[in-house]
Amino acid sequence: MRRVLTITILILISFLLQTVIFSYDNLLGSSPDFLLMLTMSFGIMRGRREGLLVGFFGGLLIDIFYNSYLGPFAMLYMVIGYVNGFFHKDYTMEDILLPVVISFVDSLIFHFIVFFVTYLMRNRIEFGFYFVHIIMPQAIWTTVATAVLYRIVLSINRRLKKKAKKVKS
Amino acid sequence: MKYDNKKDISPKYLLIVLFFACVLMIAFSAFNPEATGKIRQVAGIIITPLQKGASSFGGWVDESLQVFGDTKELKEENQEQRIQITNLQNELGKNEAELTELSELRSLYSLDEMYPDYNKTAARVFSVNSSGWFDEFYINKGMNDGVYVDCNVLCDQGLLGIVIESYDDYAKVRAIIDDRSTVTGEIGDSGTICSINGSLLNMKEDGYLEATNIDINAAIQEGDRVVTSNVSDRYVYGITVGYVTSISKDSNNLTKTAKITPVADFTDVKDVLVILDRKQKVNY
Repeated sequence: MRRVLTITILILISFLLQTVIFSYDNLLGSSPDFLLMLTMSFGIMRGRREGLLVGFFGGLLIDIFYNSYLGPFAMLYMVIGYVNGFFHKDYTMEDILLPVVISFVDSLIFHFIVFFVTYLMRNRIEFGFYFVHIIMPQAIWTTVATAVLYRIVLSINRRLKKKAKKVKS
Repeated sequence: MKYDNKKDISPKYLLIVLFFACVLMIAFSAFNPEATGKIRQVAGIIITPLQKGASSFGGWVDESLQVFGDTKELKEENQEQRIQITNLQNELGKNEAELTELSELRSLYSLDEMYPDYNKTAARVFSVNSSGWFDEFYINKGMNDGVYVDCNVLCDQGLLGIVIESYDDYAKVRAIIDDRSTVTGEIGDSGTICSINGSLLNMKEDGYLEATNIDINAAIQEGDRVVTSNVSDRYVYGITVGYVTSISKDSNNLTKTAKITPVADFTDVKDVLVILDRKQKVNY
């Protein structure tokens, strides 16, 4: 129960950070994708199940507020969380390189799919331009955010684990 | 992590179930826009107060960062602005005299309603789409303040966007620079009709909007003012969109394309004006 509550709050904070604080009064800027970072972190730290659940609800939140249909982002984040869960085997607490690399690849794939569905389908074919001006900045932002904030998510997870153990014993 | 097979569903099945849930949701929201709106509204009741709170926190941080700005710079600016004020006051007196003359002449021509005074209300932006692909944002006025779908939104005296979803006390706005947005405009004195398309590519490259479908023989030149057109479906007449920066012929030799520098500053949209009057709808 405590875990569910904590993750809900984390999702809300990430959503607020990326839609309010980091894109504050600027329509042309880009913001790190904190929800993607969160999905990736839980996928790696806790496995496929939690990765896909965090991704689903985080994506749904974006869908509700910023997409014309409900569901596509939820699906995308969910699949990313699930696939990241396979790296749970290689996960060690001290290793920060793995999440950083994965988050970079994740956001490249994520934005490529968004580009493919929403832009390429409307005959916007200048992929090179969009790659340099939109996909790369977003991916770099997200990677930087991961490098900085991953440890915080990690320590939250560790604390939750300790609490859960105490309750059991 | 080891799964307790008795208690938890295997992630594989969970993925499949939620995947189909997503597909169902997409289909549902595609065919039932009204019901989807209700879902958004319910979610908004919980989330938007948080967003508004976070936004005012962001404003506070922004302001307190500005305090550390250079005081010398501020003093110089103050000096300059004082001079500007005196100049403007002189000009104002002159303009007032001219205005009376103008209104007399206008009443002669009965052009009173050419540039109607629209009812406006001020609103604050509290959340911006962060994906980088689309330019949509939320403002803190909604149906309770008379802001409905299709209300035009201004910023810096230029057209900024249009309300596409409206709820009780907040509304969603699509900026004219969004890749999916189109505005019907008029260029210069000749009133040449064109369609102004938002384009992420042009906007990111050098900050232009693109006006297409201009007649090849149209008398337009660089520096012409572009306003929203009378024939536009959703935009009220006479709002400045921007100024023509460059004109080029299309390869079909029938039309021209112009680049337009927008008046509104899209990197600094804190406070916006919403025009409460909406375009008259005609049902054919």
